[in-house]
Formats: sequence, structure tokens, C-alpha cells
Amino acid sequence: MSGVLQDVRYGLRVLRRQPTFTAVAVLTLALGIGINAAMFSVVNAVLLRPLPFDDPGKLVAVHEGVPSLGFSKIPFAIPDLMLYEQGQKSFQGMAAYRNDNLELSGLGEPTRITAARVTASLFPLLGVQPILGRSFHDDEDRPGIAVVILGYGLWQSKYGGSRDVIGTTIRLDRIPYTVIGVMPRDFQFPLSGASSNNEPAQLWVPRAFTPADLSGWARFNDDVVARLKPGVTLAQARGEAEAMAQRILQAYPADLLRRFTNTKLVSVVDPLQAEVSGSVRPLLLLLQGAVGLVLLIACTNVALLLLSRASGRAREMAVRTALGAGRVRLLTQLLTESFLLASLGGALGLGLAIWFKTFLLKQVPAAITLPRVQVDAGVLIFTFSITFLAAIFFGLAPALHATRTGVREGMQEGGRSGTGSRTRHRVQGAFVIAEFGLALLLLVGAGLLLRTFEKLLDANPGFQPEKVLAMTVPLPQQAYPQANDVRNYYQRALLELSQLPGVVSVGGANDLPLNGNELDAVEVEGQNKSTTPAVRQTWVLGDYLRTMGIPLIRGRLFTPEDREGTQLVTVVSENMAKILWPIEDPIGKRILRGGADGQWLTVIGVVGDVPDGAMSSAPRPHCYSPYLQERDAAIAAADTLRSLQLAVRSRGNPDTVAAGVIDRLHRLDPALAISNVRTMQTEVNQSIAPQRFNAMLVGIYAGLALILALIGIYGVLAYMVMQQTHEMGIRMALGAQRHHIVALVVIGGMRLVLAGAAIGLVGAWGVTRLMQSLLYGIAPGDPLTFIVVTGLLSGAALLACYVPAMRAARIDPMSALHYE
Amino acid sequence: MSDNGQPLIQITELTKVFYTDEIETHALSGVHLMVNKGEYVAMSGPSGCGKSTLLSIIGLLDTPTGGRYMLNNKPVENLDFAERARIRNQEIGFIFQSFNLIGDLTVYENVELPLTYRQRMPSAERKQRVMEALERVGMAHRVRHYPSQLSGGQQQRVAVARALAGKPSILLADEPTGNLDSRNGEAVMELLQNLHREGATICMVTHDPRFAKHAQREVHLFDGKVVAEEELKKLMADVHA
Repeated sequence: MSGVLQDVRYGLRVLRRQPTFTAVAVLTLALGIGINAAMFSVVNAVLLRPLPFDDPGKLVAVHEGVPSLGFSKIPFAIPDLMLYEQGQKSFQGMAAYRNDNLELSGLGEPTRITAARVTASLFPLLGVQPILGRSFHDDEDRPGIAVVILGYGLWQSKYGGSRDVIGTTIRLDRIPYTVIGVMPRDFQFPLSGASSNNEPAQLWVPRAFTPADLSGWARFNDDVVARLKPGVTLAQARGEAEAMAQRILQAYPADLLRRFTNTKLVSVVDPLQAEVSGSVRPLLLLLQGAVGLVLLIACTNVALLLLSRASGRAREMAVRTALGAGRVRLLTQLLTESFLLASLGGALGLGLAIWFKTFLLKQVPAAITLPRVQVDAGVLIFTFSITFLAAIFFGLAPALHATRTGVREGMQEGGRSGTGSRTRHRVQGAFVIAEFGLALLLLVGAGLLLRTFEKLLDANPGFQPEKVLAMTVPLPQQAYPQANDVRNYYQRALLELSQLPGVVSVGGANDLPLNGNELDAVEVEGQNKSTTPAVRQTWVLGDYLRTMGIPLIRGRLFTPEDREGTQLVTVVSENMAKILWPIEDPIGKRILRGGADGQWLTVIGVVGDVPDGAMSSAPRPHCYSPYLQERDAAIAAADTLRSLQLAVRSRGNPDTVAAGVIDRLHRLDPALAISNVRTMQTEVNQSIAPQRFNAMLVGIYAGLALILALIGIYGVLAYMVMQQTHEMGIRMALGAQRHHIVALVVIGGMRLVLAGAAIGLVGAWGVTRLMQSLLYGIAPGDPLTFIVVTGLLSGAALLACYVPAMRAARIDPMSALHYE
Repeated sequence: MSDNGQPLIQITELTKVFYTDEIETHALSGVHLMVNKGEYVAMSGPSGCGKSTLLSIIGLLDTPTGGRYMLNNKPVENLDFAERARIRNQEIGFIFQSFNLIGDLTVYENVELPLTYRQRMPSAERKQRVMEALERVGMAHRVRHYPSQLSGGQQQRVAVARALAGKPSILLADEPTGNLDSRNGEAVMELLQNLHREGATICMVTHDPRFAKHAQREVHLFDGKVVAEEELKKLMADVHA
């Protein structure tokens, strides 16, 4: 024990005596450890930390799916859920929920808020209690019960955290609701990251199944969370789900069942944790891997520093050996110094992690909602672990090397061209090769992400987002109970907006490009049903397609005459036309759209493809229908059809017409909570924000890796030049010109760099395959990226080699010959 | 190594002053020296007399502070680095006290090294010259060895081969036996003598009178000046007194 303390004391003294070395090593380690700890804090919060519910490992998400139509995972239809709930034996309980946007009025300006309609079983199932008031009673999820539980944020912002809120009334979609509870501050549900219904709500109201819901076969809108019974495994629940899907299918009405002749309905059971983190898992693992490489490079640099320093301590080691110290004793002493260095780096790195975590979270695109990210015990344990591993990684090889030198050679400290220095050069060379290999790997990854972002910037979205303003205009059921009320408002609104100065055209739709919601199955007249894909369905009103700048390719667009009572028509996207009628003219063809009560529609036109998800996603087949031809019942009942997106194309900057647009809409209904007013260009920018984030973050990591690698090669070459001063003198005495010396050093350095680059290229070729899902428009093995990155890295390395080479060339041969 | 008797080195009023902070050290103070082609000259004198400095200037490793230096009838005292390096490579062969072989290169590569600095010398010619030089010093059988695998005497013979490979006008040897035992020292001196017999011009620095006797002519330096042998003895006696 006293030996360890003595080593610690001596180690501290050594580090104090070499402040520059200590500072460089500690800062390098702090950088590597810091960004790793920061990144891990996010990974920990999203992937590893258990969900904040009671016994979260038992919670599962249950979905339906029709894989052959392209629906691998979709929400439940209520009749299916009823059957499932009655027949299942795996779950203690099941709860349904769906997102909704409600107009909140009576508390200042009317606003749209994100709500969730949940069955009364949800909160007991999750094991979460309100901090104030109560949860829903079992019989409160029935039509006509208007109670609400507030989220903590809404409670604070609208009621100032007053405990008297319980029993008060708020108006949601112009219906009075009684406040019965307030949820805890950290409670979040629905969970972001889930495949659907994934917007964390600000308040919760009961999900009351109406008769329409209970008979709404194939209307897949509600997500389901369930809790496994004790002793039931996930595999058992999945097995039961398969059987339940068959039972549900057999219960389908005959006309609907006919449409499932060649398709299969499935039920999918996934752990809730995997469900919510699945979409970001590859990205987070990639980023954690990237920072792991940066730490490896940082450790390599410190190892190089220690190796260089070892030559200066050869005599000390020799003296200690001569005095009787064994190799293990010397190793212990040197490793103690490494642990001291790592500990200082780790402590500083933890501080850096807190700062970097804040920076990181600020860069996360708004579309990605993360749970609370904090530096907790898990992060501390991780930091401690990587600090320990880093000390072993960077300390072991130099320590083994330093203690291998014999007493005689060690006593001749600084002996030139000896076997010892050759071995050291080889070890240093190996470290530089590894460092450049790792840096190249990271740079290729960053290059691919950067090219992805560049491709997305250049990508044609299929519509013209410039000069288009869009907004959500939802009409509450209470104020607009009939379909005609809804139609009339929107038609009047479009007329009003079209008369605004500076407005070119206006239109409305239930969803916009980049934000498609509605998926539907279609059947083509005279074709095999099983071959038809799921299509995106949009109901459009007014001059929507022209306003959005979606080009007409064949046929015609909708006219005001395409309304109720006339032939049902549709305009399809180009890829839909190619898929359904690869060699025929689609104009005049008929498709059957919808579920049990589907309608035959005649194709009148073909328009360009538009991505309905992120810009990086491939456009789905798309089918546009006139809003005025949709049935009354659908408009009256479906939230999406009474919450249209209005689009306005302006002559100039669309922001300049925003105030006028809102004013005109409010003139028609002053209480409307118009929300989400934005330009379509903003939508496009937000759509590529995740790729910008990926490219920026991996770019930062790759930049750090590059800088560290360049410092590494510079340091090694500078050290080698110093070590070879005498050799340079001999070469000059023999007639070497300065350029011979420069070439000698540069070639020596570049040989290491190119060896590292070759290894890095092979590694990058393999590792970038894992990035496939994060790329757009380029292949993981994109040759241009590989060539440019290798060229840039080699060019930068050449500069790093050139500086010590020039220094070597300036050596005075006389002094060099006398240099020992 | 022809035209024996013609002047190869003509040094007039050569001075070298080293400046360290505010201290001026006069290493050489008006040296006159002439070495003819084919001549074997030994430079001796006490430690610090300036003989190594003079050899460095003769070898164009250093530049004089003043005076004239003609090599092969060409002034060389004010040449730039590149020109001095070229002349060193083509006209001068060095033999150092500590051999100064490069540890990471084989015997063959060490001998070949000065030839690689010459432009456009075909590799076949390089190989021929290297092997000839190694055969002359009796080291042709060790071409693949590294210096650390050789004895001191063998290393110095390789160093002599390296100096010879470029077929220089003059061989400059700085205490060539200083790091060798007497047997190996004698062997190296014999080698130099044989080379001289074959026509080589040699300028050797030594402080050992036994080895100085091998030379045709002995130049004595004292306090940075060339002195006659008798004068040197007198001066040395004064110092000891």
C-alpha cells in the first residue's frame, strides 16, 4: 500500500515537473472522455434508462399490420382491439390511446394544444398517479363524460401551479371539461419515437369509443400499450398475437374479408422501450461509435507522448533497475502515472461533458423529442470505466516498452540509432498508422453524411415550396357539427384568401407534402388485388395542387365542378400510375379506394411525385381526391377532414401575407385557434434538419479526430527528427541536399499515413455499410467520398510532415554531427 | 586521384571565430595551409587547438569567418548550402572518429548513401562502386549486416568504404582510430596508407604521434595557428611549465 502511495506521490511530482506534457495529455484525454460522456448521457437517456413507469420491462406496444400492402406496423382498429382484448390471455391489461389536437379556449387567446385521448386503464397500467387530483375512473371513458387531466407544463403556464385548479372547467374544442388531475412534471405520454401517435400530450381526456368507432372495421387509428402478466414472456405474447390476428380476420365483415383474400393481417408485440427508441437507435449508436473512435485517437496521441517521453526517462529506469527494481515494480510505477493522467483527464472531461451535452441538445432538431438527458450515476460509472480503460490503453504499451530497455543501454541515455530507439520508432509508427486509420474511418463517415445533406439540399422535392404559406385550420365539432358547416367554412375561407392582395392562389388539403398521414388500400379494376400497394390519400380543396406547385404530367387537375353528385374522380402520382398501369394510359382507369365502404374513382390526371415523409424518404404512390366529393359522414366524423391545412401562394415573401391571412380567417370565425403557421420552405428545411444534425455532429467528431491525428503525426515526426538529428548531420556531411532531408522526413511520415489510410479505407468500406439507413442519394461505398477524404487527409498529413521536415533540413551539419 | 603534386587545397589567412553571448572564441587565427594532390597530411596538436574546426572548414561542413579557401583552384569559402553539399558529395570523403554509420541501414546501404545523393547515377554503376569500395576495405562479405552487428574496426572499414565510394578528391579523417583498440587502429591506419599508395589524397586529424608518423607530412596547430614542430614543442613546454 505504501508502495502505491509512493508511486502516486512520485507520479504527481513527475506530472508537475513537466507541466506542458501534463497539460497536453490531460486536455487531449479530457476532450476524448468528455465527448464520450456527453454522448453517452444521450444514449443512456434514450436507449438504456428504463422508461419512467412501474416495472417498465413488462410494458409492450401492440400493433396491427398488413405487410403485403406496405403496412408493417399500424395502429389498431377499435373492433379489432375489442376482439383482441376479449380473447387474449398474455396481458394484465391493455390501454388504447391516440393523439389529438384540441382548441383550448377560455384561458386567453384560443390555442391549439397537443392532447391524447386515452382509455381509463392507461394510467393504472403504466403505474403512474397524478400529483394532484385523481386519475380517470373505470367508467369515465364513455361518450359524454368531459373530464381532463392536465400536464404539469400546462398547469404551470395556464394556472401558475395553483392547487385550486381541480374542479375548474376548461373549454376544449368549445366543450367544457372538468379538470380532475395534474400529472407529475416528468410524465410524458404518448412517447416520442413511437411509430405512430407519438406526440407527448399537454393534457389527457378519456378515449370514449363511439358506436362509429366500435363498427369502424379497418380504421386503424388507436395505438395500444399493454402489460405482460407475471410469468408470460414476450415470445409467448407474440405467439398469441399471431393467433389473435387470425381470429380478428375471421370476424371481419364479408365485404372487407373479400379484400383480404390474398393478404395477411398480423399483430405485432414489441417491448415499449424498443418501440420508442427504435427509430433513433442506429443514429445514436453511430454517434457513440464515432466518439469512441475519437477517444481511441486521443489515447493514441497520449501513448505517443508517453513513448517520446520514455526515451528521456531511460536513464531513470536503468538506475531504478540497477538498484534492484523488478519489471513489475517499474510497470506499476509507470501505470500509476498513466492512471493519474487519466483521472485528471476524466475529471476535466466530466466538466466538458456537461457543457458539451448542453451544446448537443441545442443542436437536436425540433422534430426529435428526447427524454430528459442528465449526467446521472450511469454516466458517472461510464466515465469512470472509460477513464480506467483509457489509462490501460495509452499507458500499457509505453510502460512495457520503457521497462524493456536494458541497464547498459539505459545508462547511455539518448544513445543514437540503437536497437531500443528503432523499436520505439516502430511502436510509434504503429500508433500513427492506427490513428490515421481511425481518423480516416471517421472522416469517410462524416463525408458520407455531408454528401447526404448536400444531396438533400439539391434534391427536387417534387413541389415548389418557395412563396407558399401553410397553416392548420381546425374546426371544432361543437361549432361545426355538420359536414356542410365544415365545407362551407373552408370554401368561404379560400374565397376570402384568394382576394387578398399579393396572393396568387390558395388551396387546402388534409395533409401536406412531407407530412402525409392517411394511408389507404386500393384495388384496381381488372387487376389482382394482392399486387396493389398501400397508397397515400389526400383530399384536396380549391387550387391546392397548383398552389403547392405539384406539376401536372397527364390529363387534368380538379375543377370546381368535381364536387358532390358528380363522377368520383382522382388524380394519381406518377409513380402510382407506373406501378398500377405500367404500359397502359392511366387516364380513365378506375380504382376502388377505402375499406369496407370503398368507392370507385376514375383517374383524370397524373401529377409529379412528392415525398410524403422526410425528404430522404422515397415518395409513396399518391392518390388525390376532391374534398368536395368526400361523404358527409366522413367529414363530420374524421378529425383529419375537419382540420385542413390551408396553403397560400404569394407573389413575394409569404411571411408578408401571413397577418392578412389570419385576419381574414378570424373574420369568418374569431374563436378559431389557427396553428402551425409556417412557410413550406421551413417545412423543407425542417425535413432535412436530422441530416444536417447528423452531418454536423459526425463532422465535429471527425474534425477533432483529424486534428488529433495531425498533432500525432506532427509530434512523432518532430520527435523522430530530434532523435535523428545526428543521422541528419551524417547525411548532410555525405552531401545530402536540403531537399533530400525534407524528402526523407516527409516520405517517412507519409509512409505511416498511407499505411494508416489503407487500413482506414478497408475499415471504412466495412463500417459504412452500417450507415445505409442514414444516407440519401449515395451508396455507403461512394468512391468520390472515399477519394476526396483520403486526399484531404493525406494532404493535411503532408503539411503536418512538412513542418518537422523543414526543421530537419535547417539543421546545421556541424552541430548535428556533434549532437548526442 | 591523379595529377599528383598539383595543389588541391590552398588556405590563406583563414580565421574562424565563434560567438557565444558576449564571448568571442578565436578557433582559427590566420591559418595558411596547402595540400597537394596525392599527399597524406596529418594534422596534430593539443585538444582545443582548432584542428577539428580546420578539418570541418576543409570539408565544407563549416564556413570560415575570414580568409581564402581554394579547393581544386576554385574559391569555396562563400558558397551557399546547396553548392557546398554538392562539393562535399562529389569531392570529399569523410571518415569520422565515431564511424557515423546509420544504424537503420545495412552495410551496403550505408556505403551507397552518398551515391544516392548524386543526380542520375544509374543503379548498376552505384552497385559497382559500392562493391568495389567494400572489396577494397575487405567488407564485401558483410553487405547485408547492420552496423550494430559489426565490430568497431569493421564499422570503421565500412565508413572508409563509404568515403571511397564517391571517388572523392580528398579523404578527410577525423581521429579515425579514436574509438578503436590499438590492433584495429593499426589496421585502419594501414588501410589509409594503402589508399595513399594507390594515389589518394588524405588529410587526417590525430593527436596520437604514432599514427601521425604514417603521414608524409605533419601539420601542427596550436591556439588556432599552424606552427613548426619545434615551435610546438616549445609552446607545449611553456604550457606545462
